[in-house]
Amino acid sequence: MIMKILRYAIQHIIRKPFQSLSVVLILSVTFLIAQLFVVVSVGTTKVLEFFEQQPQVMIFFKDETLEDQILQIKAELEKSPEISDVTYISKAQAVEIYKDRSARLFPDKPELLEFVTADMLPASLGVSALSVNKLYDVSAQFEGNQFVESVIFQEDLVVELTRFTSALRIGGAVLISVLLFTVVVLMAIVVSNNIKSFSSEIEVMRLVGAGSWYIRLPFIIDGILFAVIATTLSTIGLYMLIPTVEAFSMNFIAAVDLISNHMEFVLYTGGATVLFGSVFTIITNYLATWNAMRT
Amino acid sequence: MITYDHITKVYGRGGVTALDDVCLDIKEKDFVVLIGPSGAGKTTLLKLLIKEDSPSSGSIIFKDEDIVKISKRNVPQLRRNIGMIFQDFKLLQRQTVEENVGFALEVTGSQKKEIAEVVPFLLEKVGLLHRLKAFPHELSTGEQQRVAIARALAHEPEVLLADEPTGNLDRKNSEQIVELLQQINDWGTTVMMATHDDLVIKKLKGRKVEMENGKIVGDT
Repeated sequence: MIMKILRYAIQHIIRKPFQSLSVVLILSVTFLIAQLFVVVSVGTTKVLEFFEQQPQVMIFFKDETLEDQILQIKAELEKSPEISDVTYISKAQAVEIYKDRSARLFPDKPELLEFVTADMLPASLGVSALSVNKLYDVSAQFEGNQFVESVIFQEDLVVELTRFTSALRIGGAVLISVLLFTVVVLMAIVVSNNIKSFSSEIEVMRLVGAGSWYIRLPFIIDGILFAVIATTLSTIGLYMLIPTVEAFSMNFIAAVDLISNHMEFVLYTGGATVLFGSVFTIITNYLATWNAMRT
Repeated sequence: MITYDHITKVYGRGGVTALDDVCLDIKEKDFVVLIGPSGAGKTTLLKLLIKEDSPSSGSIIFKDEDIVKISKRNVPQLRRNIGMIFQDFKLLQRQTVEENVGFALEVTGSQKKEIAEVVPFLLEKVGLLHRLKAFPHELSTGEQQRVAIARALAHEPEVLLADEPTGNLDRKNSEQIVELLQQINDWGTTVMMATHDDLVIKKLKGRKVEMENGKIVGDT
């Protein structure tokens, strides 16, 4: 029985090849955009987390400032209950961080690392606080300080990034909703056409006492087949595009490793897309079949 | 076996009255011929029995059950008990004779082995065993109607409905189909046949129910 129903479903697809192809293509594009949106969403979340975890005020010290003087400032800052964390990065540690990031960002340019020494980079204190106001205070306190070269206050960046991430998520959700709605309409048309092209078979099926599900199931299975083919194609596309997306993001945020394990990420995203796609097309084709057979 | 109890069918709100308070009793193994002009209500009467449509009022009792009240879910089971053939045969043109008859069994979940045994048996009954692999367009109209009859008999129905089965046939083929229907009736199947073909009416020996404007005007 299952094989017969599957055979009917495949017949539907074969009888209207171009129609089937158009459904698979639009589904593939929709799922690929959804998957890329997941990549961007995961990426921006990681970037946001990265900046949130970074010290919100960075105090860079002049070369002549002694380590003891810096550690004394650190100790004084730590006394304040409104300051949550103070991290000291020595000149040597700064070089290590620089080398590590440069090696990741420009793996083919080792000469960039050769001439960098500890003397060239400043020691710094990273300060995180419980309130933004305290950060303003810290920032103001050290601006123009005799030991301080410069102060960087990242509060604006985190706020802007949060806004950008929210806007991106809303925009992406709207885009994907529009695409999914297009797919729903397209699949409803396809199911309706398929039912029309199989009207004589359906009429005979009804006449000889075939159950309602026996008649409807092949059309619903069509949807699952479309979803599986389309999500497989979109997942292959995703696998091929991830290195490009990551390389592009490295131009802006080299410190953040967007997707640590490509294969694992693609498998999880692909699996979730297959599941979502199947459920989505089952519901869509169920409703479309119900609507088309009602008339 | 079948009782139409004060059946009225009106199409649309205040529209055409296809059946007007029809009462009809049909016994087991009867051969009932519904006669009358086009629009008399013959086809509607048959369609109501397979729940292709529902009456506006009244009840239809088939084997102690009111067909009007049965749920959509139970309609397929009802249709396995009542076979039906039409003027236009309703054969699947892309399938062979064997496949057309087997289709009726296939869609109701019969196994391949059963289909392979039953189909030749049915085609032998209607005299078409030698055309097993032919497509409908390779058959004469009379042969096509025989295939439709074989398909209608696939589930060994207790009742066979025939809606103008000779409407597309020449005289010779019409006579052969009528003979076949009578033979099926002799085997124990109740037959209800709608026709306005005078030659067929004259040839048939069964009970004749005459209809006009949705009413039964004669029953002999």
